[in-house]
Amino acid sequence: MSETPDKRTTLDHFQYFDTNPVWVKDLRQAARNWTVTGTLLLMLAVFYFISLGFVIFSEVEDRISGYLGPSIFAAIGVAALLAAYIFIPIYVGIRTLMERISINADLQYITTMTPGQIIRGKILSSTYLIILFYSAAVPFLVFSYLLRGIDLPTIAIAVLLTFIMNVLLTMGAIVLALSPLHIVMKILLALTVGGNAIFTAIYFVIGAVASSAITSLFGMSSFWTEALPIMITFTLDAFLIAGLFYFTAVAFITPSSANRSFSLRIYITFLCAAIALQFFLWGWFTNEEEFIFPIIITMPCLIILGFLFGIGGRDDLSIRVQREIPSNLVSRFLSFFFFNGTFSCLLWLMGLWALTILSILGFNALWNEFQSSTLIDYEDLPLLYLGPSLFVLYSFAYALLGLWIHRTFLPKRSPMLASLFFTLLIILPFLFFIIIYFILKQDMIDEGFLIPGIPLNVFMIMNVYDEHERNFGLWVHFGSAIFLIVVAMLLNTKWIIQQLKQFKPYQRSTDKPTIELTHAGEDNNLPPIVNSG
Amino acid sequence: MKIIVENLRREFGQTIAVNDVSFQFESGQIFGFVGPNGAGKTTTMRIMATLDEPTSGDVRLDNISVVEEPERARHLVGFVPDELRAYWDTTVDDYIDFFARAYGLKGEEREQAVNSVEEFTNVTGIANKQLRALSKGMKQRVSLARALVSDPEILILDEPAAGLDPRARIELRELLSLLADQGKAIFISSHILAELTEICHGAVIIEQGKILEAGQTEEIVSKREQKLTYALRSMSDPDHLLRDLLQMPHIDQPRQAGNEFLFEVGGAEENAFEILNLLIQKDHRIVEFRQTKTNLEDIFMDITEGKVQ
Repeated sequence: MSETPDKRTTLDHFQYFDTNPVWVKDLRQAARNWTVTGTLLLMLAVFYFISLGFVIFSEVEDRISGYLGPSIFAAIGVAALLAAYIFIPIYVGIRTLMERISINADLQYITTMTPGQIIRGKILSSTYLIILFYSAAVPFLVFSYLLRGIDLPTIAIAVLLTFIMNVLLTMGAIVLALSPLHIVMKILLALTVGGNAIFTAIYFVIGAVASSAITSLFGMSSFWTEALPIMITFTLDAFLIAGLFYFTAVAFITPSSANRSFSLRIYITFLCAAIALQFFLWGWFTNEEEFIFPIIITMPCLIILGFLFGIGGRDDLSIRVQREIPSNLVSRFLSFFFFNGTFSCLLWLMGLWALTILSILGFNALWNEFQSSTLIDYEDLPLLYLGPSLFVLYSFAYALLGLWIHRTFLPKRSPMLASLFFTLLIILPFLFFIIIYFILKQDMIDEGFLIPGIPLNVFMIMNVYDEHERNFGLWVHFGSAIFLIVVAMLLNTKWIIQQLKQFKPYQRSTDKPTIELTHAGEDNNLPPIVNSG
Repeated sequence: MKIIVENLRREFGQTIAVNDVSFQFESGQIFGFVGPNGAGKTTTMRIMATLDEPTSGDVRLDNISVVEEPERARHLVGFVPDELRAYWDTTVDDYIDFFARAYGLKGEEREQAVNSVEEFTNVTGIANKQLRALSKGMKQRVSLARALVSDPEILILDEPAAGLDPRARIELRELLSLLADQGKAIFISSHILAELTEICHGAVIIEQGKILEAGQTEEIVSKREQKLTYALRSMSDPDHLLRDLLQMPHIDQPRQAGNEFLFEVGGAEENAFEILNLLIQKDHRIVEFRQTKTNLEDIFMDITEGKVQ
C-alpha cells in the first residue's frame, strides 16, 4: 500500500503540487450531476430564445437606433442572474449541508485535510461553477454589444459586479450550511435572509444596469475622484465580507478542542477597523458627516449578534488551547481576548465597542480641528454616543444574566440555551410591560415613558423631541445598565473567576487534564460546558 | 501501537449513550465489539474515529488523544461506517481517489495506492461504476478500500458484515485476518457473533452504554467457564441415550440440539473420559464426542443472562 510523503524537500513538494482535493471532487460531482447540466442547457435555451425573440419581434427603428442592445442585455442579464444567483447557492448549500448532517457526517471531515483546505476547495469549486454559468452567457452579451446601444465597459463592470455578488451569496450559503444551527433554523434562514439577499442583489444589479448607472459612471467628470473610489470600495468590501465568510466557515468545521476563535476574532477585529477606516475616509474626503452614522448603527448590531452567538459556545479550555497560552504576562493578557472562552468573547466584544467609540471621538476631534464644519455638536453627543452604547451595555448585562440562568439551573443542557435566555430577557420584559400597561390604561405607552432596565425602551427615549427630557432618560438608562452589569457580574463571580483562572499555560506535571476536571463533579457549581458544536 | 479507551462518556441531552467505557487493545489484534442495537457501539466507534466528541473521557492512540489532537489521530485511523453513504454522482474510482488526495497522497504514489487498495479489496472491476448503483456488499468493499487507502495503523469497522451474503462475509473475514497479520489493529463491531468468534483475539461486550466484559477472548472464556460443554452424536435411540445421560455422574443439563446432544461436564477432563467410557459400555453407538468451543455468542448470552433487547 502507500506511504505518506512526509520526508520530502520543499522542491519535491513543489514538484508534487496538487490541486485541492475538495475542488476536484466537487467539480467531478458537478460534471456528472444532471441538475447542473440541465440548468446550464435550460439557461442557454432561454438566452437563445430571448435573443431570437428580440431580433424577430423588435421594430426596425429600434434596431437602427441602437435600443436593442440594452434591452437584450437586460433580458439576458435577468435570466443569467436568476439561474446563477438562485441555482448555484442552493446547489452548493444543499451539497455542503448534506455532507455535514450531524447523524452521518461526511468522512472527508475526518481526513488529514485542514479545515481551511476544505473551505478553500468548496469556494474554488463553487466559483468555478459560477464562471461556467457566466461564460455560457458571454456569447449572448457580445451579441447584445454588436447590436449597439451598450458599451463594453458597462458589460464588463456589470458582469464583474454580478460575479462578485454571486460568489458572496454562494459563500454565504456554505457558511449557513456549515453553521451549528438546527436544520429547520438553517432552512428558515436560507428562505428569509438568503432569499432576501438573492433578490436584493438581483434588484440592485439590474437596477444599476437599467438606470444606466454604470454607463453614467464612465461619463462623469469626477470619474477618478468618485466613480473609481466607489468601485474600489465595493471590491474591497466584497473581499472583506468574503474573508469573514471564509474564517467563519473554517471556525465551524474546526474541532472544538482547537483554538478556533483565534483567527475569527482577529479577523473580525481587523474587519471592524477596516470598515470604520473606510467610512472615516469617505466622510473626510467628501466632507459629509453622515458617513459616521453607519458605524454607530451597525457596530452595536454586530456586537449584540456577537453576544448572542458568543454565549452559546463552550466555556472550558481544552489542553490543546492551554498549550498555546503564552507564558509572558503581556502576551497572555492580549491573547485572553482572542482565545476560546465565553467570558473572553464578551470582553472582546466590549473592547470592540470601546475602540469604536474612541475612534469616533478621535475622528470627531480631528474633524472639528481641520474641517470647516463641526462633525457632532456637544448637545448631540449623548444621543449619538450614549444611545447606541446603551444597547451594548444592556446586552452585556443580559448576556451575563442569560449565562447565569443556564449555568445555575440547566448546566447540563445545551449552552445554546444561554443565547435563548439572553434573547428572552431582552424581549419578554418589554412585551410584558406593554401588555400590562395596555390592560391598565387601555392605551399604548407614550414614547417618552421611561422604563429603566428595558433595553428596547431606549429606542423610544431616543425619539423624544425635547432634548433635556431625552438626555435625562438616556442617563437614567445608563445608570440602570451599569447597575444590571454589576448585579450580573456579582451573580457570575464564581464563573468569571473560574474563566480567568483557567487561562494559564498548560503544565503537564501539575495540571490535571481539563477533561478529568470537567467531569470530576466536585464543588463545581458552574460546570464548564462541552459541546460538539 | 496501543489503543486505550479511557472512561469514555457521551451524553445526548438526557440520554447517556456511552457510560464510563474503558478498554484497550493493540497492533496485530482484531478486537470484537459486541452488543445489541442501541448499546453504544456506533457512538464509541465514531468517537474513536474523531467523527464525534465525548462528553468526557478520551481515546489515546499511542498517547495521541483523539479529543485534544484529532488532526494527528486522523493520520492513524481508518473508519468503515455501518453504511456507505451514496456519494452523489461519484464513481468508485473517483471516490477512492478523492480520499487518497484528502490524505495527502500525490502523483504516482496516489495512483499506486488507489490501484493497490482496489486490487486488495477486489473492486477493480467496478471502478467506473456509480457508487449509488452498487450492492451492499460492493459498497462495503469500497468503504474498506477508502479506509485503507491512507494505510492507517488502526481500522475501525462498524457492522461491516451487516447485509453481506455468506460468500462476502467469508471474504471479509479473510481480508481482516490478512490485515491483522500485517500488523494493523482492528476494532470491529457486529451483532453476528459467530463471525467474530473465528477471527477475534479479544472482545468488548457492551450493553446500555456500559462495558460488561472486556479483554482477550481466552481470558473472558476462562473467567466464565466453570464447566466444559460437550457435544455427542450417536446412532442409538435418542430417548434411551438421554435417559442414560441423565443418570450419569458429573453431567449437567443434557439436552438435544438438532441431531446431537449437548451437556456440561464439571471438574477435570478425566470426567469426560469416564462418561465416554460408560456410554460405550452401555452399547451406545457413538459417532462423535467433542468438546465444544465457547464462542462470543455463549459468553454474551451468559453475561447478559439472555436478556438481549
